[in-house]
Amino acid sequence: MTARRRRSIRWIAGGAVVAATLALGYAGLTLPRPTATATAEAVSIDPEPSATVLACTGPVLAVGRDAANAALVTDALAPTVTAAPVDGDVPATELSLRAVDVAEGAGPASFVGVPDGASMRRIAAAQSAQLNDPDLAGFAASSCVSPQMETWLVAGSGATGSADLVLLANPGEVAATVDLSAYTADGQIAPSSGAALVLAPGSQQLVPVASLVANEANPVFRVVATGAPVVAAVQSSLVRTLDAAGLDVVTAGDEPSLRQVIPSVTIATTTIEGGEPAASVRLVAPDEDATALVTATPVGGGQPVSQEVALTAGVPLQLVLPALAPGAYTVQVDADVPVVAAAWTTTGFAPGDDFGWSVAARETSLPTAVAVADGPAATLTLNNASASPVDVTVSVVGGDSRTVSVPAGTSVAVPVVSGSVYTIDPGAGTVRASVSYDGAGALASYPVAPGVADTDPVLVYPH
Amino acid sequence: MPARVHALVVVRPEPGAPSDLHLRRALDALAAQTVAPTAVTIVLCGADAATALLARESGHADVVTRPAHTGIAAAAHDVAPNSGADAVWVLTQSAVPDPDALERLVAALETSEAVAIAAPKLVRWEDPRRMVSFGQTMTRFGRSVALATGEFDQGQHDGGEDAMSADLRGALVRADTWRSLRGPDPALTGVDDGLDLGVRARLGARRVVLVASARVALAGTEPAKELSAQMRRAHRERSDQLHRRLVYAPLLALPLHWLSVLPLALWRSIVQLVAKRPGLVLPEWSAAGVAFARVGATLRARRVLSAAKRTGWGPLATLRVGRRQIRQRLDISDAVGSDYERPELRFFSGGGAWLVLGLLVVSVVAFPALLSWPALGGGALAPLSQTVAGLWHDASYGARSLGWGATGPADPFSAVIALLGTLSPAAPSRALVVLWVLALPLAGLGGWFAATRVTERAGLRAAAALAWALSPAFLAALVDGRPTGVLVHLLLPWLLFSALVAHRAWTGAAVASLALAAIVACAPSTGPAFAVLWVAGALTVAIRWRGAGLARIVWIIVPTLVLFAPLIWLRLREGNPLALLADPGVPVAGTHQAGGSDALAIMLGFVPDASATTALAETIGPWFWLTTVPLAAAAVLAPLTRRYVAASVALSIAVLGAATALFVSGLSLMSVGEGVSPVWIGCALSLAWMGLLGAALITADGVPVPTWVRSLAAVVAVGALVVAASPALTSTFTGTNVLTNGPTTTLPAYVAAEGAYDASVGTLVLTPLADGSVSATVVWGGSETLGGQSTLTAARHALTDADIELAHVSVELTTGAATDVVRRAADQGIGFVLLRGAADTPAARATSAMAGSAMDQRQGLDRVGDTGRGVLWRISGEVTARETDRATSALASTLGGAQILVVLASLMLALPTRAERTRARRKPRVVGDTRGQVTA
Repeated sequence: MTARRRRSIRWIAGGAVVAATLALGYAGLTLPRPTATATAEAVSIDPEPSATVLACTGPVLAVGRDAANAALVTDALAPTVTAAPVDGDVPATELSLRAVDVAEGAGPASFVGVPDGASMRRIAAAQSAQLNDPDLAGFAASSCVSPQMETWLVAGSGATGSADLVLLANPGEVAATVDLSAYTADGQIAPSSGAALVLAPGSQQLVPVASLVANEANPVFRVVATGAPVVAAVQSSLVRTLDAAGLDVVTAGDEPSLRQVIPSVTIATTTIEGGEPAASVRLVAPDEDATALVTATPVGGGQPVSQEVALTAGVPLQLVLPALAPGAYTVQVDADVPVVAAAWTTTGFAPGDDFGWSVAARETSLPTAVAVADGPAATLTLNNASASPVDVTVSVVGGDSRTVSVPAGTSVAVPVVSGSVYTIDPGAGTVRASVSYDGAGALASYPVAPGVADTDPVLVYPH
Repeated sequence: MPARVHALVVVRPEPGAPSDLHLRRALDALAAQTVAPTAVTIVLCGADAATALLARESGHADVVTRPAHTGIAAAAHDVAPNSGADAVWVLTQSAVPDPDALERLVAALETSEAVAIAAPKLVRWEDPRRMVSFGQTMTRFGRSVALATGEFDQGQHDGGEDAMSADLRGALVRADTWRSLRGPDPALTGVDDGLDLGVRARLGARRVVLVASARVALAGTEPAKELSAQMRRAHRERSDQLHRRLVYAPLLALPLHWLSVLPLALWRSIVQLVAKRPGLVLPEWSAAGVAFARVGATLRARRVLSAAKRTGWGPLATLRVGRRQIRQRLDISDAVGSDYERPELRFFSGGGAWLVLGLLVVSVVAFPALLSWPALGGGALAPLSQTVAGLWHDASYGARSLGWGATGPADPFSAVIALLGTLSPAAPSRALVVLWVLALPLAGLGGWFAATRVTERAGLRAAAALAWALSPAFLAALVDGRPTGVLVHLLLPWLLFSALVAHRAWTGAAVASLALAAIVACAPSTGPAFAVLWVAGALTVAIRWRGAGLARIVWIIVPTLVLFAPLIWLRLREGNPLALLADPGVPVAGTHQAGGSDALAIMLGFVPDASATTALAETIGPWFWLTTVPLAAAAVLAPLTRRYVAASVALSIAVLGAATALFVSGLSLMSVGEGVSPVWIGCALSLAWMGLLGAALITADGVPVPTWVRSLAAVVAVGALVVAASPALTSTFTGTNVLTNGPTTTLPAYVAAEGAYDASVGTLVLTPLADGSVSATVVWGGSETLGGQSTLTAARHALTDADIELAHVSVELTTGAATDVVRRAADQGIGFVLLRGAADTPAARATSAMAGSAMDQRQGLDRVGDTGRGVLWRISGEVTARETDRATSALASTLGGAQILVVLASLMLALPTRAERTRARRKPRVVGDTRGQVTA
């Protein structure tokens, strides 16, 4: 092979490789590239229902009945408990929580509904008590509620004459740590007596309001639990000079929000004695200064009365309601920042009279159950704060049902039979509801807790 | 007295040799003897019909037939000498004695009663001046040594007539000695039969004499070249030697020798591998097995020997060959000259060392903080297992250290990481930090050495080394924390350096095989490209060099295949072969850029999504890819130069690498959280860069231009690369790199402390995702580790039962379902639950709050606390230990054993020997340059 021949072969072969490389490069620019993408495989799982747990507030407690031990707390009266399962006939397991701070205390009742397979077992329960003791008289009713991680208590007083107690119950299986903070005239405080309280599983503890906020007549409490949720309540009783002047047990109201609705506030008297009003609203804007519009509308319709107030952040305000005709009113608070609110009313200022706290109810769009505790003239008040009318089906569990139409922006009172359990189904709308009692020397109410939805499916990406 | 001689002609057909022709020649020579044998017996060992006919028609008395494969010793052993014979003459069909051979042998035998055996000088029939054998002896340890083999007959050995022994072929043995020794030992296979007979005669106080004047020519004595023939020969040599050792040993030492047979085979296998004779490993074992099992033959031979023994071993000592004599003999055979003289490497004088040193300084300046870090984090980096045992546990078959119940093969990458971590046994994670600091200089070093295969010009070698270290894909891997990309880039030059000479040296093949295994382990996505290159290489060797060295080329892929075999089998069985391409290591979430707009950047060596590329595009604009165009242009023109074949090969590598990068740029094979992890294309781009650089170097080396033009071109090309590299090298200061200091563990210290030395501590890790869903996994041991990652779970194509169970347990834990979920978790071996910090969205916060509260309330879960890495709970009840069933551990041992065996074999083959170095010096370092030199 000659050198020239070899060189020409080289040029041809080399040129072909160069051309092929350039052609492949062009192909790389223009040809579509294959794609294959793994999908992150996820599993959507309907969670197994959790157990329904309710805790009641327990016996009415008396402080200082033993002259030798002024701090001794004892049971004054065991309450009447109304409880029934809502789903199925299997009765709920009833337990008694240990009242660790009460001498020989019976402790509050607690109910556990273990799910039946994939379906939840709801329970409804409430309790009431009527006392006529020298140091403790009046009517108290409260519902048994599910424990919560955060509870707002708008009730109680640390002023002289009050022997109020904060009741903390842990119906769960693990210990809870509770931090109590209070909103007072000095703003938010975290009293040491309410810091890091450890609640053993299945126990109830007490904290005297006076030890948290001595001489504060207008406190609001925030209860934050870690580890396990708790049921918090305030037992409020008043002694005027030497006469017992009323009793109530108050459970959680609505959480701070721009609108608070107290479905039923019973005005029993217009008397004002010694400058003390017969009806007032306690409000606090926990975090920011607020302007709030407080409106009272008669249940069943009528002319609303409203008043605008300014709130300082963290400082509760006692707003005296203007003189209203006796009857049931819905009190609504609309604010520009989240607030909490509750109303206090009394039947009068004579011995044998009673007072009651009405707290804001939470909104529910789901069917919910309510137990009506024993008591005089039990009434279920349904409030529709929305802009369209709502038809609410109210039925006795295992019995009759009827439909109540609640026009937009009004409240309707439905008489109910005490000692029975009802379900409320707002259909497509939303309502707030409360149960209230109004008798001679007996005033009480409690809100209806919103229904519990089945938990949404959870999407899990296992790796 | 005319001696009566009984001649035995053993006919053993050999493949490729006409045995009838040989036999005729032998019989004619026998007939022409000046002293005729009185009787001739022909022993046919499986001879063909023509030979058998010839034997029968030869007119000689006896024809005995024996089965094929009967050894010469066994064939001779069976024939009793005639009662009247004085001596037995052993011949084969290929032996052609000189006419006076028998006469002279008989004369030697008659000189003394003490002479039992007289042996002729064996020469080649084809070339009678070359000796085949003239006497045999053995070393102190019993290895047989044939004397004068292959030497030219210049009468140099004619003086000495005393020998330890001699080859059986052509030997005249006194008949009484034959009878008392029962002939040759039938257990011997034709190598040491003569030696053994002589030794036994000497132990019986007789002598063996060499008769230089008696010549017997042997046909077909050229040692066979084929491997199979070599293996057969090695087997026979070794089994004869072992047999003699067991026979000669004192009775007390016999058990010791017998027991040492197999261990010695292991040792000699290692020696064979180190000596680059892997084909002779198998004969070691077959010979050892035969010797070990053949107890009966050993005992029989010992009885015969003890019956005939008259003296001790003492008189024989002087006839043994010493070590010095052997070395002299080997040196003579080694001294073969060559006219090629390989030039000096000039690593120091050529500037290679300075370049590496300079890159070390650049590296330290570019990543200053790294020196003080205990571990690297960020990107695809993760801490390494804290113990060496943990590292190798992660690399072996069995329960994986991530996932609810994943059991299966480890990624071979885990073994690479284990090896890396073992280099720093006290703190394995530190090894990765050191690797990062040394990455740039090591890349320069590798690039420089690979360039020595392409050019002898020092300047171009330095430029190539710099261009290799400044590869955009490599810098992207460094800045984005991609250990696989960094390792592949550091190993590729050594693969090239060794694979180019693999066909001619075992060291090259073995180094290439290990480098390839490590590279494919790091980047399985480059596997198909390497498969194509390997097939092309094998075809080239098979055609161009007619298969010489094909075994070495085949070996290159053996370690890779063995390491990947379990994974390949598993993926094929589940019908998911694409998952084999998944990147090992920590999956990094990412997305693909839509469309092919980045194809040009990819083909020019850039990783489009890498932070270094993004930073470069922001600095110098969308035309950033112009920085590698000078290099690419030079590469494309390479086939027009004189070395067009080498250039075409280099360009093909570049095209294959770029094609692989483009192909895998559309693949996301692993899931991470709710997203997917795209395949890192940087490894394929490193391969493309290698081809590109090689081609460009060929152009620069071969273009006939003045030196200053060549230098200027190199400076321009490398200068453009420096511009392209600047954002990456300054990333520490501009904050564009993802490297972080540690963490040394991904779990809270509480778990890390407990799990550091105990891989059975399970932690369920729940991570709330942005959309409110939950990512769940189980981490075994003290930390999620780099080696503990597994594509087995990350690249699975369907959810397994274990995944479903994990999802259920996770949901029940996070929602407070009234079930016995804690016990189920504990039964699985899980001791901790970790809820990681949520993404910053309302849905994620809600999930996190719900999960935290549900687990707080759960009986059996104790909250340990909110650690820096999430909220931790401990399962307070009894936790079942995670168990490995017996079948799994047996499989793990088998697989691990096989893989270690192959890797060790490669390592031994990779050790260079003196002979190999000498041979390598006779070949040019540059490959593919035909300028007046041999290419192979």
